Formats: sequence, C-alpha cells, structure tokens
Amino acid sequence: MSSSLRSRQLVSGFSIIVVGILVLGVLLHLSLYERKKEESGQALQSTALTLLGYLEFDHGYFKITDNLAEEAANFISNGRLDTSGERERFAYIYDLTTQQVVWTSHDRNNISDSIRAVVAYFDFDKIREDEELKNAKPKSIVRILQPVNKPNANGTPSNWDNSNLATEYQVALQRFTYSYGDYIFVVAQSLEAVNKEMSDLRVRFAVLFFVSVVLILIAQLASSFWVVSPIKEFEEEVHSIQLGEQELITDDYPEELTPIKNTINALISHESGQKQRYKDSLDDLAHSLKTPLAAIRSQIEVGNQMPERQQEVLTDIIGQVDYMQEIISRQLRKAMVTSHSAIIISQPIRPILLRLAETMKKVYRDKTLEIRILVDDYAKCRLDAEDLMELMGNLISNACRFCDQLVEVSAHIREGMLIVDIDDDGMGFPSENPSKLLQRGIREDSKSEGQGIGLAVSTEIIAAVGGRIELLVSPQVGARVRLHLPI
Amino acid sequence: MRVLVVEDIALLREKIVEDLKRAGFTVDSAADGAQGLYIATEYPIDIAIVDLGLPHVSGIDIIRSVRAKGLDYPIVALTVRERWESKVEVLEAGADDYLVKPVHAEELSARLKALLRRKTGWTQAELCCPPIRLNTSEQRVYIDEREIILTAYEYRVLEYLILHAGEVVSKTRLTDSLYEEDTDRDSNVIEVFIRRLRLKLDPDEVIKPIETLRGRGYRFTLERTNP
Repeated sequence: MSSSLRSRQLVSGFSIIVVGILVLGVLLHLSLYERKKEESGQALQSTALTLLGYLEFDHGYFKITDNLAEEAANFISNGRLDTSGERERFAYIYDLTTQQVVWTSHDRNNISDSIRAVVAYFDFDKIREDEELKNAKPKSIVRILQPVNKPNANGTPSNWDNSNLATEYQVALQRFTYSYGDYIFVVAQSLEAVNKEMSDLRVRFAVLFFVSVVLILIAQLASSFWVVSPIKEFEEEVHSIQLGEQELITDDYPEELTPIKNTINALISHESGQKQRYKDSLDDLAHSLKTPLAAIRSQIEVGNQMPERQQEVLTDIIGQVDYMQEIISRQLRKAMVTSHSAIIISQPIRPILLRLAETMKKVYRDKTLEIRILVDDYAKCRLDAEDLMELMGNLISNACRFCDQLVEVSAHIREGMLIVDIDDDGMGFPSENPSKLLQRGIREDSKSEGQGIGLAVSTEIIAAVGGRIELLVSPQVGARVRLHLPI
Repeated sequence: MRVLVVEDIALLREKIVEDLKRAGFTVDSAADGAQGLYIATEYPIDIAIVDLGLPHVSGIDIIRSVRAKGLDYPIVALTVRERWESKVEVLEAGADDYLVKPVHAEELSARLKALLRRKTGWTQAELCCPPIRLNTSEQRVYIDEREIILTAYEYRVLEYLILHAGEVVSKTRLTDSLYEEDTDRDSNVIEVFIRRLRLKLDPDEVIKPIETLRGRGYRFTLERTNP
C-alpha cells in the first residue's frame, strides 16, 4: 500500500483533511452550545425580572399584585410557566427556613402538595451557601443545576415523583432575605430542548461530515491522478524505450522530473554510443584479423607443396602471428576507452599529472629529462580518472620519447573548456598531414609503437567526452598537443 | 647474475627461465605469490621478474613487501594490462620497469641487463675497463681488440666482477649469483674460475685485473672508462 506514491499522497492528504474537519466541527459545536446556553440564560433572567415585577410580598406571603393579575396570567401562560410546560419550565419561591415552596407560577395562590409536586427541586442547602447569590441583588444569577431526587427532609410533597425530571436545568436564582424569612426565587427551564437542538445539530454535522469526506475522497483521487499522471507517463515512455519503440524521453515533464529525464537520456545516449564503439571495434578486429589469417593459410599451403621452403614459411607465419598479437592488444586498449559510467564528476588534473611525471622519470630514466607541470589545482575537467590517466599517459609518454630534454604541461580555461598543452622540445610532428596521426584505424599504422596508437586512443577518449585534440608547434619548436576538454 | 621469476602460468614460466638461462642468468622461479615472496625476501637475488596476476599474493603486494623490507634490487613487472593506470600503480609500488605480455626473450634480457647495469652505475651495454672490454649483449670479452674465449661460468664470474668493479665481492655472493638454490656448491669452484680467468686475461701478470683479499673476497681493480 505505502509502496505507491499515489496511495501515500492519498492517505496522508485524506487523513489531514478528515482530522481537520473533525477538530473544526467539535470546536464549532462547543462554542455554539455555549452561546445557546448563554442566550437562554439571558432570556431566563429577563423572565425572572418581569415575573418579579408582578409579585408583591405581603406579611410573609407572596402573591400577584391584584390589578396586574390578568397581565401576569397572560405572561405566565405565554411563557409556558404554568402546568402546560410541566417540569419543562416553571417558577417558584422557596422558603429556606421552612424548606417549602411558598409560591409557584402554576397556581398563584393555593399552594398545595399537588402543586409542589410538579416542580423540580434543587440542592437548596448548597444554594444557600452560594456567596455570589448572597450578594447578587437585585439581579438574578444563572446556574446549570441538576435536580435532586428528593426535595428535602420534611417538606417532601406526598405525591412528589421524580419520574419525568430532566437531567439538567438552567436556573435563574434570586435570594430575598426579610425579617419574615429567607426566600429563593427560582425560574427554571429544562436544558433538554437545548441539548436536543445540539444533538440534532450533531446528527446534521455527522451527515455533512460523511458527505464531505466522500467528496474529499473523490477530489483527492482526482487530484492524485492529476499529480501522479506525469510519473505514469514517464514510466510508460521508459517502458516503450525498453521495447525499442523510441530512443529517448521526449515529452515535457514537471520540473521535479526533468533532472531524472535528463539523466536517463544521458545514460541512454552513453549506452548507445558504447554500443556503436563496441560494434566498430569488433568490426575492426574481425576485418584486420582476416588478412593475416588468409596469409597464414596460404603460407601453410605453400609449405605443404614445397617442403624445401618450410623455414621461410615458418618465419612468415611467426611474423603474421606477431602482427595479430599486436592487433589484439591495440583493440583491447581501445575497447577499454570509456567503458564506465555516463555521469562523470569534474576533477582536478594536477594530481594525475604529478603521478605521471614521477612514473615517466622511471620509464625514461636513461634520458636526461625535465618534466614541468605548470597546472594548478583549479584546472578541472569532466573526464573519468582512468581515461584521464590513459590520455595524459599516452601524450606525456610520447612527448618524453620524442623530446630532447624538456616536456612541459600547461593548462588554461577558454570558452568554457579546459585547454591543456603538452609541449616538447623535440623534432615536432611530420610536416605533411600530421592529422593523419589522429585517425583511428589499425592497418595503415606502422608496426613501431610510435605516436600512432597513443594518439589514436587519445583521440577516441576525447571524442567520447565531446572534446577536441589539435597538433601544433610548441614554443620550444617541438610538438605541442593541445586538448580541449569539457569542464 | 641471479634472477627470480615469479609467474603462475607454467608454460610461460618455463619459457622465460629457459630464455634467461640462455642469456647467461642464474634463475630461481616461483609458481605463486607466496613462494615468490619467500624467495624474493630470503634469497640473495640480484633482480626479480614478477607477474602481476598471481594467485594468493598478488604481484603488486610482492613488490610492496620487498620494498618495505628495504631491499632495493631492480624489479620488472609483467602484466597483460597496458593502461597507464596500472603502469603508474605498479611503478609507484616500487617496480623499476614494466613489460606487457607476450614477452620477447631478447627484450626481457635486454631490460634486465640495462636495469642491472644501471644499478651498478653502468649505462652502456658495453662495460669498458681498459684494456678489458665486455659486451653484455653479445656476451663477448676483448682485451684491446683481441677476443678472449671464456666458458659460460667464467663469463658470468667476470661479468659480475666488472659490474661491481671497485667493490669487494665475497665468495658467497659470487656463488649465489652463479648457482640456483638447490644445486650442490663447492666454494673451491670459484677459486678455480678465478685462477682460470687470471690465466686467460692476464697470462703474463701485467694488468692484474682481479685482486684477492684474503678472507673477504675478490675485487676487479681496473678503472671504468664509461660511467
């Protein structure tokens, strides 16, 4: 599952969005709930205030002021504070001393047990201790309270039951302390309505959540197809290269894929160049071996027919075998040119030159020789280390062989190429057609290992990296081999 | 001159040994790296030919070990690889010369002789200590313009002495350079060779080319003319 880029992107993106929506939903829900409660609490406070306006206290009794009776009745029934809102909404006054309800909104004047039975009671012992309530005159305070299962010790109405109590009530409380007694004015409403509203909201949210998850999933799938499609396309192109239907990756791809495309193309070009070189050298080998083989064959026939010439024939055959040996060793050297990776790091040439200079002193120790390496560490070129060694080895060795006593290697950078000059103070190149020395091919080369093979191999190495080789005259009037190497 | 040949291919080893013997060398040979390293470090050899592609201990390791032990006789490396990369590596390891297989007998012995001469301070193929002149490539000896005919062993003793002209050469060193490790030796043989050489080179005892230092060995006394 996690092995596919698309599924990774899908899973990670999807889970981030889903978790985000959930957290957002919970936060929204909580703040909405708080606001609802606050709103309904304010409404409750204002109801309490209005209701108090209708009430008067007369010698230890509460009652509705006579001339406001009708208005109060309307207010109570509109606010569903009468029995129609049984245990949903109600208002009453509780006497803390006698622990009894002394007035209710259900029946304004006759307080009977049956009336007391329809209200919900709260833990008034605790409410009595509430410091905020003691000091909250003249305004009521709002609390969320849970009803008690039994109103109180001695004042429990005989027919009181706790069957249809709500679990939570929002209560506006106000305390009056007179010489006649200590009273609490209670206006309460069940929170069930709010809770139900919230749970409805939760259901709606869940549905919405589910729908949006499905939509997001679809969008994610679509976007992942869109994002991953270049990779898919890339893969298909590579596949068709494998099938031989095309040679290089040609389409345009997003910039992240471009380096991969370029690298693959470089590898392919390198490989096909390699193939061509293999083919060429195999061709050369086969063709150049044919001639000496034919010669040997005819010599053997001569030997068979004329036994007296056998010695001569044998000498000839040995000559041909030596020639074949030489052809093979040349081809081996050539075959090794650039038989390595396509991606080459630019590297300084000085260390290799110094090693070669030491080696040359050993190889040409019978010669009084001075090798000057006038190259600093900034001279770098993009050439495989082994090829660089082979190239410089061939050219410096040639210079050492043909010089009088001085070989000089210098380098500079021009037009984005590293120019390396290998100079000697010898006879210089043959004046007519020196470029022939650079040409690849075996048969026309002379047998002596002169400039021929070294220069031909060097030319191949340089051509493989897109460089150039020139034969010039050195300031010491000897030969100068000038290399143009990629940096 | 005593040569060590370390080469694992029997056919090639035998051919080289044969060629070198014909060219006047005393030859020890080893078929693998371990044996080669043993001979190279324990026997009094003058020069070594080491193939690089050996089983067990590689040729380049032999060369490094020999140099690490402070032995400075010339070493010629034999290899099939012609790239400069490997040439440089071998020469840096301490080899003095480098030959690519297949090896031609003349080229090999010419290189060995050149290295040995250079080691002892000679640069030409002809060693001149007038009136004696010794041509190492043709293995001929002249006094003035008259050729002196020597046996193979007499020639080898003379060549060794002239190569080290001016130095004291002990009897053991002479024996070592003449005989392979497993042959029977008789130190009297050297005395016989020296006596015969004196007779052939200086019958009238005029130039006295070979001096005997009692208990120490022999010294070739004539002055070198070419360096």
